[in-house]
Amino acid sequence: MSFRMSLRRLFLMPASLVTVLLFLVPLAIVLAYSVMTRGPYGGQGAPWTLENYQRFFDPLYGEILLRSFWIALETTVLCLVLGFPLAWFIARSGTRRQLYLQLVMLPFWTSFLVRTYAWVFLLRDTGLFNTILMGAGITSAPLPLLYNHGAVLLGLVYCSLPLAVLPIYSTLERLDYSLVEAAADLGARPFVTFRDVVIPVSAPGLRAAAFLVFIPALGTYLTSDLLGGGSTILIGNLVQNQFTTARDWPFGAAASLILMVIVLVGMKLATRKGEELM
Amino acid sequence: MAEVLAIRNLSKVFPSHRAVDGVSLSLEYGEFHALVGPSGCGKTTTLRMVAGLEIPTSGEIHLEGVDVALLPPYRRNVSTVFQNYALFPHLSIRENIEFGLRRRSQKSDMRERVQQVLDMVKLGGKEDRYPAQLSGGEKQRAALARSLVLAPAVLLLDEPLSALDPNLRQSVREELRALQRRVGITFLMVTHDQEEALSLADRITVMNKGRVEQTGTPQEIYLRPATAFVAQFLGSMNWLGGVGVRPEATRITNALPPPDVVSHAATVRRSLFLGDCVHVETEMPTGESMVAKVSRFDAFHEPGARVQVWWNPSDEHRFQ
Repeated sequence: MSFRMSLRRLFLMPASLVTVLLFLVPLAIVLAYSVMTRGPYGGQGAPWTLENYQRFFDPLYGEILLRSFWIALETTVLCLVLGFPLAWFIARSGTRRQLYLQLVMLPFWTSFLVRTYAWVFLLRDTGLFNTILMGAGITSAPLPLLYNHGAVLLGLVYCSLPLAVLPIYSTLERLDYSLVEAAADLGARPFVTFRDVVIPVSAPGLRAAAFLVFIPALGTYLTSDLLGGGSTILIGNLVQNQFTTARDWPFGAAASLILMVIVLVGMKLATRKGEELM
Repeated sequence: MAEVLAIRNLSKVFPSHRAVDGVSLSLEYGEFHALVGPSGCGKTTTLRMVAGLEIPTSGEIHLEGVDVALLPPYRRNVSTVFQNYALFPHLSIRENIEFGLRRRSQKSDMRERVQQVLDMVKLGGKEDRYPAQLSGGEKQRAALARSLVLAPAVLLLDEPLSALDPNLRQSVREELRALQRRVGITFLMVTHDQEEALSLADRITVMNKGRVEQTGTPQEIYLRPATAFVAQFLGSMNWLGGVGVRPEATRITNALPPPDVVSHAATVRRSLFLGDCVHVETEMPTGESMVAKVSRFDAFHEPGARVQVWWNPSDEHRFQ
């Protein structure tokens, strides 16, 4: 008994060590930085201040935060709308499930950076799409496909879609199909069955998918940087800039902590009591 | 009597096999009909075609005079009690029962009707629970209530008792029978359990390999089976030179058998004590074996004992 208990604790050690050293300690450092003052040549130190947090409530940053939320929300909705039918198809395709699942996960075999750059080559003025459109005489000048909100959204949806499909798939795979039959049997048309039975029963998977897509999308900086150019500054870019070009670590630390608190509060509100996240 | 359901020459061909092959069936208003057969005989596929969950390859399904064979399930006046009950896990028992009424826009007297069926299946007071909070028997009754409340022309039951534990099955069976009598709704039940079919149904249809072997009352089916398959599927049968005799009609004696009966000398191979009865297995001179189902109050027959096995000629079954 006690041997087994101590063995169990031992098994917990590696993961907790990693968590403490690589997550909690850095988080404490970020917290400390966020209440320091930026030095005249970068760096940070005394005096302690809450000014970094106050600065964040400037309307300029509010707009960035709002834009980040909006694009993350758009990404989430699109991923759920696109991912659900795909997950349904895979869950109901018998022995070929494994193959389809592997295809869904295939993009993960390539670097995220490479995949995002590939979109740059496809979307830019001299890229594939514009070359085809102009070559076919459909347009005379290149369409502005890159460096705008749409391009960032496209990149986010593209990268997040597999993250949405997997949890939805896992609930649909377990969905008792006789529930769908029972609904039809009781007089429900297909749309009503979908709305009143399939969606509520697969809600846990949809919620997990929404979190998996929304949270990384909210903090994204690479996609918006590469596909949005300078036109679409998101909260992730703001934080990144503070730690790089702006050299204002205290403000960057405060901004990232505020983002974290917002995400945590949002998650808490979205998962009702007693419900599991995944 | 008038027909509520008439199935004519119904077939269903799947890519891999022919599941139902020219089945015809007729149900009268208010009857309890059992569709029995071994697994894979096409009974469930037939039921699912009546429900609209499978589209027939050919044939007709007349429900109250209208051919519904190609209508989707939500446009048929039938309702199914599924084998696993298929209660909606996110809805309370009341909401489950209301589901069909809402779809049919029958909301005016919904509360009373729901209360009525809840009382009928003895689930009063449990309407606010969720399916996960109910026992197996309660789930079965909730599923029954969900279908009953719609007062369908035919209520379809797919192995309704198979998910219950054996001790419960007996009492639920009696309740189901009484309930059907009370509401007067036509029931079509699929089961592989012969005893269930015999004890519940007004009429039984025995299926084998996608075809109907025989339709009749339990007595007709058991006492005058039309085919060797039916004879063997419902109850068991001893075979002696192509003639069938039921084990309970097969008698054993140490003394002289009565006059005017068929009798043979035999050797007792073994006796199997089954609690309420004893199965005595005997070896006939031909080498064939016959089982006699006898009362435990009868004389005990030791293995190796020389006995006379006899039966009345009227208990013999002959098939082509």
